[in-house]
Amino acid sequence: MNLADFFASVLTTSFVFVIIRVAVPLVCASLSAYTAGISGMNNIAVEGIMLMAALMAVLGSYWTQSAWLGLLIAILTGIVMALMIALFSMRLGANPILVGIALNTFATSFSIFLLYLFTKNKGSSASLASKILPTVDIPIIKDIPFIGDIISGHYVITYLVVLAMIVIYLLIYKTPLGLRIKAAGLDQEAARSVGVNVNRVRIISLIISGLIGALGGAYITMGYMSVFVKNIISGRGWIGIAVAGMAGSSFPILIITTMLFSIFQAVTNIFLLYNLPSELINTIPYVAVLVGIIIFSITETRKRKKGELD
Amino acid sequence: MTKKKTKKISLTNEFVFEIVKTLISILIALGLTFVVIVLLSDNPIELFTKLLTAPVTKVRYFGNVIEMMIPIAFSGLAVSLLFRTGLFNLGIEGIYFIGGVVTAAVACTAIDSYVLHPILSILIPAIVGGLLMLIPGFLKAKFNANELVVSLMLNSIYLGLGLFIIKNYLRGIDTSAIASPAFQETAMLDYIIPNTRITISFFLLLIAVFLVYLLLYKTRLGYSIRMTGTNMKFALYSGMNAFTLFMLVHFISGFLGGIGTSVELLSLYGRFTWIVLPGLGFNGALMAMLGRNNPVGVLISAFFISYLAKGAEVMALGSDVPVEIMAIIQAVLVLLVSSQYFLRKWRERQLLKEGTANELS
Repeated sequence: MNLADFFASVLTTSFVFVIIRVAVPLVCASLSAYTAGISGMNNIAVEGIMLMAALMAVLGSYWTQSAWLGLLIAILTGIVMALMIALFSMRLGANPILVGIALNTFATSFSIFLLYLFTKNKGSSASLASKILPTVDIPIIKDIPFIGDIISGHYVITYLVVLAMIVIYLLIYKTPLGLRIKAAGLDQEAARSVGVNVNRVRIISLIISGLIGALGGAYITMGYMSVFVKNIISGRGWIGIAVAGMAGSSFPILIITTMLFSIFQAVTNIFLLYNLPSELINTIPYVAVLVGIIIFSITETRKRKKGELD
Repeated sequence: MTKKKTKKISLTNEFVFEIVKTLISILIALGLTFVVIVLLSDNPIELFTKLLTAPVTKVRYFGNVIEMMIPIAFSGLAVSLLFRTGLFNLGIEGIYFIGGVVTAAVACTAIDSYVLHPILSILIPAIVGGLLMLIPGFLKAKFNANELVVSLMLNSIYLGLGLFIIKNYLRGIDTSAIASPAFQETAMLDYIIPNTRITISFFLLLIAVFLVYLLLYKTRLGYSIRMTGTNMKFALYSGMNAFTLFMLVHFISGFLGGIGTSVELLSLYGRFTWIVLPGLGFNGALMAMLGRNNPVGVLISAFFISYLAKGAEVMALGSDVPVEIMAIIQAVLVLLVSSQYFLRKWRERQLLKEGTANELS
């Protein structure tokens, strides 16, 4: 591979555009896992939520012949799935991680079940005339060279996700509700003792988690691609869970890690063009997260040990 | 009077209550499935009967049930040990994949012995599986790294690594698919029951269930595992070194996973053909949940789910109801069975009633 060629393809506006395109579903997955996790209610069904939402976006937009109603149906699906975690873990006493595992396996097969019912095809929804969401050209900005090429012309959901990112940041860091969410996650007994309704706070977090996860799922089938195919999320939800697990309660680390991951993924796509062993290159992002989490855990352990000594 | 008392099945008994709860969960899951079938089909009764009885109509079908049961029972055992220790590690999925690649490597090597070759083809993947599970085990034990995240990352890494090995060093030239060469005939396990593809792996499974049972309930290590699962702090005070405990549990789990994947490939496949994660490890997690992390429970769950899966498969042939209907049964079952408070109110009322009755007499 020619190094100059490689840099030539990386250092372009279209490459940055691609990073954003790749990043949107990953940001959704990370935010989904983060908002639930920070309230002490782990949502590891992100993959399943995104998968079901991706399917319902296609089916919903086909039934209603409206992309927006399709998006709405997808979001409702995501919220319902997230609430299942609340129902089974809070009311019925199941471990939320186990509920998540069950929901993921359920979504894998149930999405195919529904796909088959409505298309008589178990592989793809290509036969359905589903809608996709429009792209947005931001006036004035789109005419600015370089910057305009990068931030204008994305799908509507991309801008919604940026908005959601800001809203979630403000919610967690700047509002009383955010404080309560964090309190419920840190120590639910202590939170209860100062009058926080832990269950309600967690249900709110799960609703946000389901909503943002569904947004990511819908993005895949209403923008990134325009059809649903079997297992279309292909691990993005799991990546979000990994990133959120690494970031802990820190929002900035969450976003930085997700963006690093997206860059890795985009670079991986370029590497693939150069006939390198694609299987190994595909693992680079996972190795990166693994190394990240190892470093993170080692420093945490050192800190704790030091704290014990002091 | 006393006779009547002992005869009465008492819901206050934890074991009886768990069984009743499981049966009710099964009824709800099947009821829901029936409703779905009614909605989708014109002859629901016939289809539903097929779902429930098809596996016992032919020896071959019942053989399929056992064949399907074996790999998920092995992964269920492997995962149940981890869950039991309070470790949410889903790495068995990756172990099945990379262990399968190791199986292929050994099974494709020429070893001229019908005894030694299968033994090595099972034992080597088992040891490799055990060693590979030590990675998340070590990171957890030493640095308290989130085992769920680590194991998920390792799953994807093993998938890539395994495919790389198959494509570049272990590619079958007699096939256009991405697959290993055909295994040596000496490595394959023989069918031991006519009309089925059941092999010695069935007995290996029974032995594994028995050994895991002994381990959990009759050894000190097992005691530590059970106690740590109920209270992580126990590991620190139990005398057994937490580090050793975590490492041992991970190794045994990976070892079981390695056996599970090798016997699956050596019984049913003949060459390594997976190009995505097979899903058997994740299914094992469900079996562990259904079986409440008890080895015998895992075996029964794996049998039950395989039975319904085969029933669903036969039912789906030539009908409007796709085989994926299994997802509904499985999810409802797993969710209800893992719900501690499901029916708990009812049980508490029974307890109360019994208490008052005792007081009055």
